[in-house]
Amino acid sequence: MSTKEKKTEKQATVDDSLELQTEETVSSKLEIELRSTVDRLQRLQAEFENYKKRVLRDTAAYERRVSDRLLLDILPLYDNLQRAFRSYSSNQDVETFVSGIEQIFAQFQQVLEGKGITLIDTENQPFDPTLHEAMLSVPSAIDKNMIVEEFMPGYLRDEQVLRPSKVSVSQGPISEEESE
Amino acid sequence: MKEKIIGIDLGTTNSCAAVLEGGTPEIITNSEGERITPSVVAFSESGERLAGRLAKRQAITNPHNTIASIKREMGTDYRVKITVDGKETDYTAEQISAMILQKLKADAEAHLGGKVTKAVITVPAYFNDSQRQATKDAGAIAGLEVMRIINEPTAAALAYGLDKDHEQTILVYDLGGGTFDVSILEIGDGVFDVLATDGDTRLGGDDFDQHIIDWLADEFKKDTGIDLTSDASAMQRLKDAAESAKKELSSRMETTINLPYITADAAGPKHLEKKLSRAKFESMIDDLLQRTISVVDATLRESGKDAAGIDQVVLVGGSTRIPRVQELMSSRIPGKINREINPDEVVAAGAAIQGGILAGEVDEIVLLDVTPLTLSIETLGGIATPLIERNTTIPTEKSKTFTTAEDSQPAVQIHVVQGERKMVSDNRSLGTFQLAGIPPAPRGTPQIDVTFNIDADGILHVTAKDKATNKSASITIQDSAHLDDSEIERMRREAEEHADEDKKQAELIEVRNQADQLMYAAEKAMSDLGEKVDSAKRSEIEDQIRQLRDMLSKDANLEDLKRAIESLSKTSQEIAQQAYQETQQAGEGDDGATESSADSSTDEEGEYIDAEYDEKP
Repeated sequence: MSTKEKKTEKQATVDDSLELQTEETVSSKLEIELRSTVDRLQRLQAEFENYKKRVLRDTAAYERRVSDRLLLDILPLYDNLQRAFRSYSSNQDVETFVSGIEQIFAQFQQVLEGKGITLIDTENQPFDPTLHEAMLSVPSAIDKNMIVEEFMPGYLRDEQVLRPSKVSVSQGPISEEESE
Repeated sequence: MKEKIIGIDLGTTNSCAAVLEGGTPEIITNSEGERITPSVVAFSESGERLAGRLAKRQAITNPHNTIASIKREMGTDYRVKITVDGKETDYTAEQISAMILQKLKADAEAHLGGKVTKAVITVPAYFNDSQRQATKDAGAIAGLEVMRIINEPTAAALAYGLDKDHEQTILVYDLGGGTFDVSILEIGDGVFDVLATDGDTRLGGDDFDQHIIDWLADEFKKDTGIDLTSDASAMQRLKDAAESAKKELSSRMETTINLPYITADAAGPKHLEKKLSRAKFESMIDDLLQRTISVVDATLRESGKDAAGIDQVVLVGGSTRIPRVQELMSSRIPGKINREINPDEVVAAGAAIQGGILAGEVDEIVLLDVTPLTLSIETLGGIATPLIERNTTIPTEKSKTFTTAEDSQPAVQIHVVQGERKMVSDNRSLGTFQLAGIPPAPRGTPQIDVTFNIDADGILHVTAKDKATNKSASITIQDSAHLDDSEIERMRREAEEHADEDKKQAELIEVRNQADQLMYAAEKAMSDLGEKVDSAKRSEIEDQIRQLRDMLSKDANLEDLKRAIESLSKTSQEIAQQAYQETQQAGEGDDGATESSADSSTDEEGEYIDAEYDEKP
């Protein structure tokens, strides 16, 4: 059996070297895999960066298109105002001028309505910071915290505040407490 | 996914929050759709708590229960007394700041779609330990674990990535809405050291607006005798107009302030119309700006540096958009001025980067380079045809298909260039190589794929492959991404200066190429069609070709060339049509005839690589 033993011994060393070899190939294979994974990750990341840059460019272009569309809605009003002035300078007729301006104003309102814009109501309304901006606080005969006067109208667009109304707000009938 | 650490610039007038997304800071939009949030808190009559824009809107009606600029009280034992329903409650500055932080936190959670519990908060460089501790406590009250408190100027420097450069000294000039700070920092090995800091806590953009308002009211009084200052409504309109005029003058030399029906007297309505030039505005605010420069000088003295010792300047705060501020700073300090990042957002952006570093996010992300200049190859007529545009993040790969410019062209020469100019000769040559062994074919037929592949180290591999034979050739260029900054800057500037003439020249070459293609196609059509072309037409075409060739050799101008091309193209089409009809009548299909119709003016797909004759061995 000695030969057999020898054989197994020999076998063992062969196995060892084989194992070593496979270990080596496995580790080099892993190394290659790692390198390609890192490369893939970097490329994906770079692509994401480039994608973000493109989105930024696209957004700018999109914003421009949106504002172009708005301008196209407004230009006819500008044209009509020019017509009104031209007509007035040739005939000096105040009455037709005013009626013309009124019509252009109605057209303007139509454009705004088309955009979903509505006026924020301030008459007999309590002050509400989600809709109004307080410019002044004044003593007044009306109830405290009610809107006294509107300095600049505010607008909603589809229920969202586009611009808050600028208002003065009542302190109530004569302030008992002087503000510093 | 790891939890995000947000960056917060908790300012005196306004606050701003940002978060790192994919390695770059993104500003968080608040629920009102704004990128900055007023640092204002209020308690309404009903005890409701408001923070941000809404609190600011109601401030005038509710002065006792509205708190602004609480930052000035941080670290003191100041107490805010709030009375709601007759009940008085004391709040510390930390508690009030926490309400602002809570609003920012809620907006960040809405933006990110998840809980936010960690933050980096910035403070002025001059804040002492108790002020810093108070800021940290405010965070804790708001439910935020403050991972780090960093200095505002440090955050600004981080946003510009200045920590990654070599050791250097930086001056941060921060002119906000209501406060002004100057800090001098030394950076080395990613460590920031504040050498000196100074400022003026009552100086900012609001003062500039006030100067314009005063001027408008004065002028109006001079013109009409009416004093607007007692008219609250008129003053509000002046304030809005002054602010937008100031902003406009950052990009324009002059603006008109137009306020119709500003007031009325016995004679009727009065309108305000005033032109304000940038020069006039600059002279109005000169005293304020000079004050900032003297603070800069004082800070320099304190730091022990002189102007020449400053490597970079960072501009922070909306008011640094004023061109005069930039001019004053660049004349005072010769270092590089950084102002590319939105000055209202740069501090929050830097805090978000610090948050990303602490979250380990920045470590994970290998910081990727960009190609500083466009990479192109030379095509027919010496035009640089771009494959990778400048500012593309690398590693990246781009391919394009090209073709030959001559019949039976056996090889193409690939010339790789770098730069923004349209013509190869104006750009920097990186290398050339040849792809040989292209089988004989009519020009325009072979398809050669050219691939530019830049790896993460900026090494460019260019490969050209003939689709028919799969033969390929390549070149590796080591230094495509690594030019020194001044060279990149010079090349960019040149490209901008020459943009118009380059475009014209490129167009001329394109038209010349088009002429060349058309003549070739017409000649080929005639030889293909042979007898089918009647002799009158034949000589007409030959004449036109001769003329066009003559024009090309004499460098004719663009318009003349275009006209000649048009007439040749028309005649070519006529003969093609004529031949086609004859073929139809003869009842015989001849592929060659139709295919060679000479409409070759638009061959968008393949661009022509310059002919390169290589003697076959």
